Amino acid sequence: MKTCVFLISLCFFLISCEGDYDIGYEWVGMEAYNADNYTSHPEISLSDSIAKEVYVLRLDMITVELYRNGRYLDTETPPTNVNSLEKLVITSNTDFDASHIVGAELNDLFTIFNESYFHTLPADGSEGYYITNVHSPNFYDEPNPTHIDLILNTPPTSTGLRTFYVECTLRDGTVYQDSTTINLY
Amino acid sequence: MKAIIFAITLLSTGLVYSQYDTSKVYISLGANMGMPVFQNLAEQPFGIDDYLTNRQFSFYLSAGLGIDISKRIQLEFGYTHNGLAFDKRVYRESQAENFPDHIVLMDDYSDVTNSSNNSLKFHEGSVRFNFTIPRKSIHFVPYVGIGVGRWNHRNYEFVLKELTSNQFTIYSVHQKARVQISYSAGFKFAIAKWPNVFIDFNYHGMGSSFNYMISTESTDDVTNWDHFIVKHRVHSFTVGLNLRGRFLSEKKRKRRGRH
Repeated sequence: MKTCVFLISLCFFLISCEGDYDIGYEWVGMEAYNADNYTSHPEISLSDSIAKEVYVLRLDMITVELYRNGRYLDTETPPTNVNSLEKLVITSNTDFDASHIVGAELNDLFTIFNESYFHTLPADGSEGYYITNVHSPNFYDEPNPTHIDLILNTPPTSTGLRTFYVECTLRDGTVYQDSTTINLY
Repeated sequence: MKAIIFAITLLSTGLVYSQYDTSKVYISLGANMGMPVFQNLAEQPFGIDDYLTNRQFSFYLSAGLGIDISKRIQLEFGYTHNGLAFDKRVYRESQAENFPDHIVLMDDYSDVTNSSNNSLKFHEGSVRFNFTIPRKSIHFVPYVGIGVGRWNHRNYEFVLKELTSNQFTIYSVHQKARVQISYSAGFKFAIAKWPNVFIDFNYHGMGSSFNYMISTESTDDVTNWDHFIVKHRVHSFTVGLNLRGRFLSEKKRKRRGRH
């Protein structure tokens, strides 16, 4: 009898444990901003000019959380993007260098920061676009990735006013476009 | 906190055991606190010396099996473990001095890099001779010991990011540690009323030998490898509590059974 009561209690206990969060989200919009990287992490810049060596292109992703089940947030079970990034194209309105003239894709000059220097991704998509917030110190406050930082690895040969155009294509074919202008010196 | 609970458990166990007179074989448990000193550890590449030496006070936990060879001499076979917590803030500050114009970053969320908890540790097996000098109110026990053990630490990674540019370099530190000879000496004393509860003052010396392989991956995806060996001696001075739990002797067991 005691064993029976124990097993029933155990079952109730186990059922009541919901486990790790199962979170699903999607991006419903994108806005491009300028950022700089003078400190340990890129930060949005309100200045109209930034040193080309520390320039970062920030994409603010408008995020909508679709569901959240469970009880505990865990980096081992990060949120799932139900409509993930499929393709990213960065271009500029002026020549970047001899091999990147007006309109040429600049993806190979950028690196996706992914909230950690240990987990960067090439912006050309050669290693996929697994954008996550698990490496962020703010993960437990904001588990869903709300922005993408694109670090400019190779600065342009010339300085001056420049507009970056960004086109994001999601898995279902949705395309978001935006641009941002900055004086790189 | 765990160490305090362990120490309290040891103390209470020892007080209970100390009431019994016993057989020739005993169990020994110890918890000492101290700080290792890294002798002549010169400046090393990639701030390895900072990684090894930026440590906090920690507990040395030991367990052993002893036997009375004679009335005054005991032979103990023991195992000792020590884990040294890593002071990440101090490490970053010292690395910042080594690499001005850079920011030093460590990844808190990686298994490889998470070096905050007991990342530097040693395991040791040893043989120890105790010489008991009984006095009226205090038992004084000097001892010497010899053993084999190994200092070891986790592999880890850090990033140096230039302050004035987006350029950064990832350093991945991998190492293999070798087994070394260790030696120890010290003394402990117990109040005659509780002859199995000792206050222990210990010196422990052991060499360490790390065979390092360090990969350097820069922003432009060029990876370089460096290989070097770091050898030095580690001296530890510790103080703590040491307890003996003696098995009841055959005679004693029979006597207790009759009562």
